[in-house]
Amino acid sequence: MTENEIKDKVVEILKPYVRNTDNLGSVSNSTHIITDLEVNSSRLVDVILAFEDEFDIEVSDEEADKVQTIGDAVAMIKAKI
Amino acid sequence: MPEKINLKEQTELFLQWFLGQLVILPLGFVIIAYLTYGLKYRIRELKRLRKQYREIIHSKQPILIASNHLTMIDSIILHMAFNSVVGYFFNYRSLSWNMPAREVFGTNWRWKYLTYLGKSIPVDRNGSREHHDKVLRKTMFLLKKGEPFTIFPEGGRTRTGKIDIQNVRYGIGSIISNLDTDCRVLCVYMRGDGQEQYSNFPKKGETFYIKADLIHPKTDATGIRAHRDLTMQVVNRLEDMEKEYFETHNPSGE
Repeated sequence: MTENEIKDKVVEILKPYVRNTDNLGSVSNSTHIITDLEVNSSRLVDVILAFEDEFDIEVSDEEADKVQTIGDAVAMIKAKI
Repeated sequence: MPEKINLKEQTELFLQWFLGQLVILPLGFVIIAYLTYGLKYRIRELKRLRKQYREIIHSKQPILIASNHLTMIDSIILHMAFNSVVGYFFNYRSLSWNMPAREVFGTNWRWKYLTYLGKSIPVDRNGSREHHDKVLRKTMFLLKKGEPFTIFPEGGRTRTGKIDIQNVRYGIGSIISNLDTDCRVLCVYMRGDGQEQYSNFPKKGETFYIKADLIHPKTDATGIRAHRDLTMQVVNRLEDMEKEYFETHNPSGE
């Protein structure tokens, strides 16, 4: 799976949790999930669990803590699949 | 799973427990007198609630109290509901521990001392994993000793006035999951008749509806999936209790 394909899926997973949908159209690797997309920090756990289901991976608490941007998520998933 | 609590932390908790019991009579009487005669708060079916709590607390099996959260003094109203000041003095274990937000209660010295003497472990909601692990360690230690612990699964007062799934954090599920023994959860739905939205304090002359229901959350899942599963069992029960409230009560109190 290419980096772009992973990114597209990551954005798709994030969509239901995004409150600032205006920024969704211009997502890049540096887009911050909480500050730019305004995903509720309490829901990040659900996003991580959705990554696990979609990509059939396991994410530890420490790895989950490091996911702050779209690029972080893509890099973590790419390293695991 | 966080490491076990160390001797220094145990000593700190014991000292807090000891000092709290030392002042429970004078401090408790002043607070309850102010709430009862100053603010004229009343709780419906008080005897039934206290009997139910007494029976539940009799066992030393770990117990969490999970409640909806609408005002800053919900914990105090729950203390008022579950036992008398004298009852707490003679059975200090029955006074539940709390986990107040440091950014709310740690900024004012009066609240700081009051929460310390009222069996509280402040938590910084945006704190580091190390900080949350430390709070989790202390919570689990106390639960295993049979000390009840009150938690608000929504993390803070709900801005919508109703249970807000969007703000639910999975901390309560994490505690239940990390305990290596069965944990009971007393789900509590509380609401003043005049409470329409969240507020700092309930209205003067408020009468409270409080319902408590004991559940035993279980899951076959592991890790954060288990935390979510266990938390949602508690929150779904609270949602059902809220639904029951609105089916039988007029929220305007008319």
